Parts: sequence; C-alpha cells; structure tokens
Amino acid sequence: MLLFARSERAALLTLALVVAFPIACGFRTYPLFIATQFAVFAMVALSLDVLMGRSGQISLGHAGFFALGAYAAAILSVRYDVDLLVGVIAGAALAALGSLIVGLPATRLSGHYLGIVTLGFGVAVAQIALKWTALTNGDEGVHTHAIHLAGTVLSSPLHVYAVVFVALGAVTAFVARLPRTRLGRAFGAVRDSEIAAAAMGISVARTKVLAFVISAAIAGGAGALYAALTGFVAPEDFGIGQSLLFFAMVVVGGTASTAGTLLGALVLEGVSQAAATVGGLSLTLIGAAIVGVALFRPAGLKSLWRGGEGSR
Amino acid sequence: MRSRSRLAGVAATLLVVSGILAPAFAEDAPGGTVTGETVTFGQYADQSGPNAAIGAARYGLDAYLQAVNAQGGVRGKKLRLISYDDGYKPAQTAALVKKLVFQDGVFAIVGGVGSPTTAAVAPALNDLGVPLVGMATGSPIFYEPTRKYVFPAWPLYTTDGKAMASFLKTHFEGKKVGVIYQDDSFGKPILAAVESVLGHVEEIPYSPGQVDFSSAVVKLKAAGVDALVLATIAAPAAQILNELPKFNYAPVRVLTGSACGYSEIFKTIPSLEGAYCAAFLPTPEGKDPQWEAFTNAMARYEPGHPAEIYSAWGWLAGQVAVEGLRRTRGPITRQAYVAALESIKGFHTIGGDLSYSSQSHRGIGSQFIWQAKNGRWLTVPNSKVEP
Amino acid sequence: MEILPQIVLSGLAQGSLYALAALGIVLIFNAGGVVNFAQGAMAVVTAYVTWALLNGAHVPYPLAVALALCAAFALGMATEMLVLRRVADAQPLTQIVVTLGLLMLLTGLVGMIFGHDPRSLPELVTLPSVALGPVILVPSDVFDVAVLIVLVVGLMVLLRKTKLGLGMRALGQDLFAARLAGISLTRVLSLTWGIGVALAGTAGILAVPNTTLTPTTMDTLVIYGFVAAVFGGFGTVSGAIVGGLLLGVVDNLIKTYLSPELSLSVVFALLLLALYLRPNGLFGRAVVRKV
Repeated sequence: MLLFARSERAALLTLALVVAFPIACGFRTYPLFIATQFAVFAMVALSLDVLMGRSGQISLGHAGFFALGAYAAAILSVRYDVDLLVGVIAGAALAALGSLIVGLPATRLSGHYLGIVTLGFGVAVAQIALKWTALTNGDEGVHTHAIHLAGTVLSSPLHVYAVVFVALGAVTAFVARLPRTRLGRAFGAVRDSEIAAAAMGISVARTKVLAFVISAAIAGGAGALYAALTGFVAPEDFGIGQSLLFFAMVVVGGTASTAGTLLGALVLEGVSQAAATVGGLSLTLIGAAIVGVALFRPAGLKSLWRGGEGSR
Repeated sequence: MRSRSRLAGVAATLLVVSGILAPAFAEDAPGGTVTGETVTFGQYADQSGPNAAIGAARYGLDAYLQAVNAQGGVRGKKLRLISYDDGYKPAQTAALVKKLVFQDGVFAIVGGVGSPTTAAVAPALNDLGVPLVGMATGSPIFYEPTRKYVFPAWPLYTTDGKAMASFLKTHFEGKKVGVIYQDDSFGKPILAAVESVLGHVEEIPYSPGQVDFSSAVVKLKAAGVDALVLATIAAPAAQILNELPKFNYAPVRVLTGSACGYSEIFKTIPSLEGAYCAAFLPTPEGKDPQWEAFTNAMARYEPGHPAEIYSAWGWLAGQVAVEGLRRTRGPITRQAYVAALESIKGFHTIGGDLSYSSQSHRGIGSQFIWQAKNGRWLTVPNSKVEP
Repeated sequence: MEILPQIVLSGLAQGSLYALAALGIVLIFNAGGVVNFAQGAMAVVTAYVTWALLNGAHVPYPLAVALALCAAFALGMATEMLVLRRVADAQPLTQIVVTLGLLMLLTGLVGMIFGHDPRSLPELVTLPSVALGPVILVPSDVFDVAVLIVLVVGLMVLLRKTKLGLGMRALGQDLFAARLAGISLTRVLSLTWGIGVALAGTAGILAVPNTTLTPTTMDTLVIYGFVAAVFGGFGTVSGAIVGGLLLGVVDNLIKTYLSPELSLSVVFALLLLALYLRPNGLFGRAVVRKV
C-alpha cells in the first residue's frame, strides 16, 4: 500500500504511522513486538492474496509454507549461524520448493479440491515437523541464535521492527504493482477465465504454478523473519487454525486489494491479541469478527473505500 | 513514478538507519522489586484451544491466591493474578508473556500450562531474570540443566514412567508390556523411562488429535500384550480403553495423571474399574486434608469450576510461588525471591513434598499409583515411588 | 494371529463415521455450492445438546438424541436463513470464510457455555461383542454401519421420490427448470442445510461415546470427512459413502502397517496422488467447463 495505493495521501499517512509508532510507544518491547508480528502476518496475507485474489486459486494451508521458511531459517541460524538475509532467502527457497508439491497438482485442480489438498499440505508439514525431531527438535521447538543482518546483531526490538517493516514495504510494493506487470496480467487472465487465457496464448499451467511458487516464497521469507522475531519455532504454531486465520485475513480484508488485505490482517491480528487477554473468549471473538465483516461487508473491508464493489 | 520510488528509498533508508541508531539495548524487565501493596503474578493457560481442559489450572491458582489474600496476604501484601489465554500456541505464549513482563510488570510467571508453550518462553524469561514457577509440565527439558530462574514443581515425566514400570514389575511380574504414547516431549520420556526399567516393550506412537485407536488395540492384543501403559492425555486414553472390551481384551491398564483427572471419567470410560493411574496428587476421594482445603476454596472462590486434578495443578503452583514469597527476606526482589525458593526444603504441597536447592530445581519427587475401585480412585497402599 | 481381516472390518466401522460426516458436507455443497467448514462445530453443538438433555433435564437417552438431532436440523436451517442467505450474492470465498467464522464462533461459544472439562455420552448399543472366526464383530460398530445404511436409503428415497428431493437435485443442476416446476428454492436450500447438519450431528453422537466430549472433539473427524468427500468426487451420495468407507479402511491399514503417528499425512499424500491422476475424485464425473 505504501506508495502505490490509489490514494497517495493514505500511503504517506501509513508510512508516517510506521515511522512514528516506535516513538509513540516509547520504544517499548511489547508494542514493538506485536506490531512486528502483525507485519509478518500481513506479509503472509499478502502472499496469499497473490494466490487467491490475483490468480484465482485457493490455499487453506499457507501456514505450511510459513513453517517451511521459519524452520529453514531457524535451523540454519542454530547450526551455521548464518546471516538473516541468507535465512530469508533459504526460507523463501524451501517454501517455493515445497509449493511445487501442491502447485503442480493444482494445475489440474480448483476450488474445493485445491482447498482440501492445500489444507492437507499444512497438516502434513506440522505433523512431519513434530515427528522429525532430529531436525526440528519436535514439540520442544528450535531456539534461534542471536540474529544478525549484514554484520549487525539485531539486539533490540526496534531493529527487528525496522527490518520487518522494510520487508513488508517491499512485499507490499511488489504485490501492489503486480497487476500492472505482464505476469500479473497473466494471473488475472487465468483467474477470470482459464479457457480465454489459453486462447490468448498464456500457459495456464505454468501461470498457476508460478503463482504458487511466488506466493509460497513470500510466505517462506515471512516465516524466516518470524523465526528471527520470536526466536522460537515449534509445530503448534503452524496448525490448521493458523492457516485458516491467514485465509480469513485475505477474505475479510477483501481479495485483490493490497490495502484491504493489510487491513484484514490488522483487524484479525488485533482482535486475536486483544481477545487473548479476556479468558476463554478468543475463539468466540475472532469468529464473531469474521462473521460480522462477512455479513455487513461481503466484499471485505476494502469496500469501505471502494464503495462496495464486488470485484474478485 | 520517479518521485515515488525516491520517496520509497528515503523511507526505507530512514527506517533502517533509525533501526541501527536506535537504542541498541534490550529493555529490562520492570517490576523486579515489589514496592506497592500487591504482588502480581502472571500466567499463560489455554482457555479456548485444544488443551483448554488443562487450562483449568487457572482457576486453581486463582483460588489459592484468593484464599491467601483472605488470610491477610503475604508479608502484608495482597496477591493478584493476570492470566492470559494463549490457545496452546507457543508464539502466542511468547507474545503474551512479553505483555505480562513488560506491560503488566508482573513479578513472576506462575503455573503456566503446557510443554511447547513453556519451551517458547523459559529461556527468554531466564535471560531476563524473571522467575518462572510451578509450570504445568514435567518435560525433562525444564529440569536439566538447572536454570537459575526456572522452578518446575511437577515430578519429571520420566518419574511417571518409572512409577508405572516399577509398579508393573512388582505387582505384575512376567506380564508382557505394551506402551501407546503421544509422539512428543510428553509421551516419549515416559516410554523411555518404562523401557529403562522393563527393557524393550511393544510400542505404538500416535500424533495429537488422532481419532480411532482400534488398529493399535488389535495389534497389541495380537502381540500378546497383557499389561498396557498409556502415555496419553485424556481423549486418547478414553478411546483406547473403550476399545478394549469391544475386542474382548482385558490387559492390566495404567494411565498417566494427565489422563485420569477429570470428573466425568467414570462415565466416559464405563470399563475403567480396576485400571491404574500414576499420579502425584491425592485422589479426590482420599480425605487428604490439603485436598479438602483445595475443594473448599474452589467451591468458595471459583463456583462453576470443579475441584479436580487440572485445577489442582494451579493450586500447587500457587503454593510453591507463595511459599517462596513467604521465605523472602528483606525487600521483595527477584534475586531475593529466587534465593528464598532455593531455600525451600521438604515443603508439604498438595502434590507431595517439594525441595529446591541452588544446584537442583527438581520439585516434587514422589509418585503414587491410584486404582479405580467402585467408581472412584483410591491410592494403592505402599505404591509411593521415589525417583 | 492374522489381524488383517479385523483391521479392515474396524476400518469399515470407522469409515462409516467419515462417510456420515462427508455426506452432510456433500449434501450442503451440492445444493448451495458452499463447503461448510463449521460441520464439526455443529456436530459438537449437537453432542452437547444431547449431553445437556441427559444430564440437565434427565430426558431418556433415545429421546435426548432425537431432540438434539431436531436442534441440529434447526441450527442448519437457521444458519442458512440468517447467515448464508445474506451472503448468497457475494463471491464464493466470502461464503467459505463465513463458515470458517462460524466454526470459531460456535466452538468458542460451546466452550464458554459448557466449559472445557471433558464430558461423556453413553454408548447407544451396549451388547457384548461376538467372535466370528478370525474377527470380532463389535455391536456398536455394526450399529454405526446400520445407521449409515438406513440414512442413505432414506436420503435416496428423499432425493428420488419427493418434491423436496427434486428441489435439492434441481439446486445442484438447473435453477431455471426448478423454478418452472414451482419449487421454492430458498426453502429447499434451508431444508437441505437442516438435513446436512443433522447428518453431521448424527456422526457426532455416534463418535462421542467412544471418546471424551470437548469443544474440539470433532476437529479431526471432520477433516477425514472432507477427505472422504473429495475422494468420492464431491458430488454424489454414493461417492461420499464409498469415499468414507474406503478412507476408513486405508487409514487403518496405514496405522497398522506403516506409521500410526503420520497416518493423516500419508492419507493426504494418497489424496494428492489420487487427485493428480483423477482430478475429479475417484468417483467424480468430469465437469464440462463453459466459458
């Protein structure tokens, strides 16, 4: 959304908020942590929108790609003490590789079939992470080492905040620009009609796989940043519930809208953090928020400023 | 377009530079010295997720603190609990513990529930110097090596396993033993401990959430197993035990305390009669004075929440945390508190005697075996096992 | 001792529960094009209503079950009329996310109302098991399969012989023709939701006596239900049944001979393979895509 949203003013305002937030909260650990965590989840939501909003596919297992990235970075950090940038690249690469497992069959599948296959992928990643203790340390999880980027140790929450928000800015810019690129137009064509796209000379299969690979790579990179943020990676964080939450962020925000997706992530992450402090209400409140938005804003939160247009 | 990308570049640079120039310190945990009239404890406990049943530890802990407050508090200070719902997601635990420590300024984290959740926060809390007391897990990773600020209260899961195995060895010599275990840091230490006592046993793992255990039961029956150890939580134990009579299969059955602590267990498993359970808490019907005090406090302060094993875990955590506070000399600082906790020797908790020292934070050592008789749990005489 | 026959038999019994779960999903999907992710939560609601009637109102068990299934039916209808109908014109993703939201909302509400302490329901059938050569026949398993058969036959009759059934089939196919035949499709849709949720509730009431009842009890079972529905081609009653039974057997074989702790992952791997070879499910028909 930053600089490429429809309203330049909104983008500048957002940017100012991102810069002002740490000062406003007095550089305190908890608000910075929560904001950074939101930024990580927002990246995953944006990656999912590449798949759902832009190319018309579906994933109910994005926590699986997120997990691959997180584990790749955490394990590399622990074993080889690699730079965060290497971790992010490795995480993105591993997730992209993993996406081929579902991306290739996805060329022949759609709708609920694809939904259930991706759901299964997410389940399998979490189950294998639990089982493969030699690599992942099972449910005891992997603790990362001190995270460093280009020789600087990211010792304070503000460091991580800055790094993650720059990454979010880059992802946002990429996703927002996508529809205007050749690739983005191919995605759109495939989404709107596979037959018409094929008639235009677009390789439908290739385009669909590519959408999966790009989406997974972003989610994997976000996972690597997540490992750097929390310093701990365990299978329980990548269950079905997390995948469904990512999915809900995109739809609640409004598909094919960068600003909408960001807002969706902000709203749902905000509700879950607030709800966690009210005992036993978490699930109820998140559920109510999702149903509420869907009922009153069926096209997602993006319709708040797009006047309720029901575009995909 | 050009102005936009220039702007983006400026913004990115600004963020990076501010990040690098920013105070490169990690914030210290506030609340290290209790100055006001209250001591605040923080807790993470699943209240809505897959393990919300054991999240009932929250009510036991709250009841204990209220009971202490009713008697005037500790050293003239009242106790307060802030308990958050982490949904059994470690990342959420990490976030909420940051809130407890940095935002709410709690003095210590007490009675947190679960292994992966605790694993997510224990090293960080230790580094920050915030005590983590009486968490509801017996996973060996929190005991070895001893961490200065981490005080487990439970017997190790391996003690669970040893208690089960030595009981079988003494009372059911020569039986062929089989173990069904949860394939994680809860089930695996129990399996390892059983095997350390009995040698190789038939073993079948499962993943959390599995439905239908008929294949496991059929397999163990066919293998001639006649003593079955269940290193499982409540739901899988119920499923497995309910399968047994269907296949006309009646092995000796031993459960863990995590599986036999809820109030409707005798309705859930009609064939429970005769089964054993390795536990460190008194049986609910055992007329134990500490259990009675717990039951009364639950009825008084937490109406609607049963006095059972899961809530008793919280009560136990409260006992340990408060005992440490009682023993703290001089100003109540975290350093003094840790020293006070380490001075605890032979303290009678609801779950048995507990001792700490500066070398070892082992917590409770002993385990009992219960048996299901006439629709209730009774402690088997002379079944106490020391590690 | 040869255990294979017993493993297959037990798999069929468990599979009948997967089939029931799948049936409800497929029925609702065929009529309205919505995959109801809240099926499991709705099954849990049904089980808790049964529990409350048994333990709170001391209603006899069969009556409690009947009343709870009526409640499930009402819950299904209400969901369609109050929630899904309002997003009927939105994109399909919105309809999916609504059912996801309902899943969380209902699970959360059940936890708030009934707590998370494990509860129980008694077995419906408590006869002793019968040994037949190499296998043991478990009466409650036989009962599960019998319930499935009765419900399927009932559904077949409903779909083929009644006006409601005609409407349900019409919803899946030709709306225009159905309107010409004078069928109120909105009413048919809510009734279908009622039936679909009652089927999920039935699976819940059959499954719970074997385990503990908590708000998340049905989570895994419903995943198997989805897998069964996809195996069966996500379209037909018979597909869901065969998919469910097959899945029960395959899953039990994996647990016995391969890896019990990774069975769900292996099931998904098989599903992936099956879909790669047959993109419309093992028993699904190819769909002609229109531009």
